[in-house]
Amino acid sequence: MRIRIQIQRVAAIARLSAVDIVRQPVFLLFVVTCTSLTTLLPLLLVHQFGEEGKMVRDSALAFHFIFGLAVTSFAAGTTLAREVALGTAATVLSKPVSRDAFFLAKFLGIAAVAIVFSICQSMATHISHVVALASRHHRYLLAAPLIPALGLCVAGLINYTTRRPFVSSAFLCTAGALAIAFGGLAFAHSAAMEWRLIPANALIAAALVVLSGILISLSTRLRIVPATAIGTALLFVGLVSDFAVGRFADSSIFAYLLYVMIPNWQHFWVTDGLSGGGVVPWSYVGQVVVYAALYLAGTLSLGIIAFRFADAA
Amino acid sequence: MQPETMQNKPDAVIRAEGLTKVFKDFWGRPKVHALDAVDFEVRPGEIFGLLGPNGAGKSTAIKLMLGLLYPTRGKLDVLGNSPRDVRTKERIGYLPEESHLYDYLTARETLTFYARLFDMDNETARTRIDDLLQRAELEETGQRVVGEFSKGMRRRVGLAQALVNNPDLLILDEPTSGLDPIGCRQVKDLLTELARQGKTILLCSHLLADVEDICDRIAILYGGRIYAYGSMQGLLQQVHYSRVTFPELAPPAMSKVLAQIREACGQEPEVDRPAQSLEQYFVDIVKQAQSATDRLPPAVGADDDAGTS
Repeated sequence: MRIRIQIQRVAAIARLSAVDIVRQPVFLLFVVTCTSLTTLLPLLLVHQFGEEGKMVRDSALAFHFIFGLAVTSFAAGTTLAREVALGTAATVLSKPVSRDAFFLAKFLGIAAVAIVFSICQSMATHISHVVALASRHHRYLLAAPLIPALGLCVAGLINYTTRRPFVSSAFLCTAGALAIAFGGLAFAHSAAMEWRLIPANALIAAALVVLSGILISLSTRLRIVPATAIGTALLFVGLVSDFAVGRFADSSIFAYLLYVMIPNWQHFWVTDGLSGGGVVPWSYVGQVVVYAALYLAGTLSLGIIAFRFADAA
Repeated sequence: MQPETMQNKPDAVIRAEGLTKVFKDFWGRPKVHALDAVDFEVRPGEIFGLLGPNGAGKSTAIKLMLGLLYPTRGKLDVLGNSPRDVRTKERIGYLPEESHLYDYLTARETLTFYARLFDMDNETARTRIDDLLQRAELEETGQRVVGEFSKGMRRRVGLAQALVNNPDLLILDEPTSGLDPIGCRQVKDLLTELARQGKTILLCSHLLADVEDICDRIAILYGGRIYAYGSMQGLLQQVHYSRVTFPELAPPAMSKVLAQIREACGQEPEVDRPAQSLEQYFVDIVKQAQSATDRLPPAVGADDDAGTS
């Protein structure tokens, strides 16, 4: 009975966190910019030399990672550090909600947003890839960059007629428009669909979830700017950890510990593996997800302990 | 001055003994003594006022009662348990000093969220939320998000969220802040009614007239220490003076009464006319204006009549 109530509370706070992030204009700006740039890629790239697919793929995945970093930094900063500073955390913690549950729920809310963002970007990546390969013979595909704009127009119409909040409607409509376009292209141009991209997008989504865990754990004790700065530093250090620390791991215990503690983002970045028709096996994805889960378990445990003994007001 | 001593009644709803909170700097050195060995208790069914100037330690005391801060020293029991016990909080309603709300939610969504944090079935929650929205006069706000509300409307949402679980103990930080005089009166009436139902209320306020109107007992904090503590009547009553109120008398009768008083107490009595409070006067005037507006014919009809006559 108590467990059911605890789950209900965690679900309510996680849902609220996700809704609160999704309704903020900055989030919409990130999503629309990222998906618009991705769907515009086939039109922006020149001198492709038959490498349209690779160029679109690499750029779209890079957008996914960079904008995903921006989304998770913004979401983590908005969610915990700002709520403690503004006092909304105090109001929620004055209800029968333990600090552990509050912290975990906040993480789940951000993780949900990161995953939803990744799904949208994954659809945009596939659409862009189909347009790059098939638009030479099917000119109507060049209208694909209008998909996010179409979502915004529909949201504007909904806002005008029903007075529903524009930002959340715009996000839902943009996601809906992308889903319809993705479904339509998968049906009409199945040969041009690059299903190999799904594991790559899934791994970036896992990286974003890990990053969310790190950022929210940091924001239990730090304000938004230092937490994001440290998170960004960890991102860059993690990208070069194989070179900077990994090669000394066998000879130095200190280097080994540092190598284990720094998240290795190279595990999540498989663009090179996709070139030349390569496929990322799902077994590899499974191993990386286990790595991500273990890393998250450690990070979130530290976050829980830090938040348990922090002044929350 | 402490006219009333601490009584360790077992049924105190809140009991603080030697409660101390020291905020420390980055290096762990004491920075601010927010509360310094404070003793007080709040009894069941009373309205208790925690008063003091800015920085006196009122909000710190409240945050300790809610388990949001850790005491440095001393003991604090709320509803017989530690304030950090989650089960204790099931019986508490809290209104913070600023209405800390999620700006991108509507009033109904806000209350639904807070209702979900309690073990309340959907039907009970819906009924309770409808009732609170009606009481707070927020039923018509529809799809508007809280971020677009005026300060007074945000305060009403804040008060509604504090009441969503029908709490036994209500902790209110500046409950009438940002409200117009009618709203203030409604809140005070609501608090008095809740106390009559057996709820215990602790409130902090800078508006001393509000505190004087509704509080049974008060504590006055300054620099983290209690300087006055006791019942409102006990602290404010001037025991060496009496006041007799009667309808206006004709001058000869008045002279006779004054002469008798002068003879009895050997001093010159002071005579004045009792004045109603500005708040009561304002509320009466607005009520009259409202009933006058209600009696007026609709504006369009009035224009039509004017045009045809």
